[in-house]
Amino acid sequence: MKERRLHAYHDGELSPGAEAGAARQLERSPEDRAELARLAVVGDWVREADAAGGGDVPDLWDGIAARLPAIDAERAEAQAARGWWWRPFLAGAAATAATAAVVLTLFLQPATGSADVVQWLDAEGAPVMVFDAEDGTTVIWVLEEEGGEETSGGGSRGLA
Amino acid sequence: MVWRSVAALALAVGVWLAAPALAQQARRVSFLIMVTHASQEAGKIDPRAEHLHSKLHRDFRYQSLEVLEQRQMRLSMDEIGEMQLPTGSLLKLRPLNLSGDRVLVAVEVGRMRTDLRMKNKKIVILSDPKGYRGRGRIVISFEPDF
Repeated sequence: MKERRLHAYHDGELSPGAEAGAARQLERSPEDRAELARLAVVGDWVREADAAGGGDVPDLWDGIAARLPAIDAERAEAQAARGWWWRPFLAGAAATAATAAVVLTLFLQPATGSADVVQWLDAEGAPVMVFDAEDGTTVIWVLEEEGGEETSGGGSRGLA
Repeated sequence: MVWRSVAALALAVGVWLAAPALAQQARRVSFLIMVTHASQEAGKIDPRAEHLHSKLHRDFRYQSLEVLEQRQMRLSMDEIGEMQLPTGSLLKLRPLNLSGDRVLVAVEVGRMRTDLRMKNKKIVILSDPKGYRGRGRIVISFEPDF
């Protein structure tokens, strides 16, 4: 028997003629009888559940909703108890990142000034000053080799 | 016939590969060189050296700045330009490479040698390690133009 027809028979939804025909078919088919028995069991469970639940049992969601604030509070407490151990590490990581940013800014930016102009210099041991003057002018000043002029006074470098 | 084609192709590839180097070689750099004498002896600032004075006077003490010689050198890559300085030192300039807005130049002043990556029209000032006339220094400025 088709499942749909069997369900209709179980639920008493067939016409009298169809019901008689279905009954005859059930007598001939043990499988249909077993299926009908299962439908009866399921029906009993539903009815029992309805009877047991009734209107007296609180709604499941009401229970969950009532419990949520408590659950949140418990989580917050647990996080407070165990969650802050990583804070010093976070501070350390932030300090490291800041230091790295400063270093990268200082060393990776395009070089400018005399350091960028003078690629190599050899004065055979003579003291040399290399610096930037105004307008990006590079000054390479080799101090005098011998018997140079002595200068005094003033606030600037001497010629020698 | 095949060999001719291969030879022509090889020649074309060779020219194509050598073209950048040849173009580089063909480019020339002009250097405006000014040789001045900075001294503690009383004197004046040569008007031609005013721009040099403006760059030096805050860092060095001198009473006079006199232009001894001005010269323009136009050099190809690897070409050496020479100039005798009043101290007897030899100034040598040799542009090595032009790249973007920079020219790499090998410079010698007496026993001082350096490689400079100079920006276009940016001045570099050098002092001759040898003293001059007892109370002064030869100061050389040079400015590339390319």
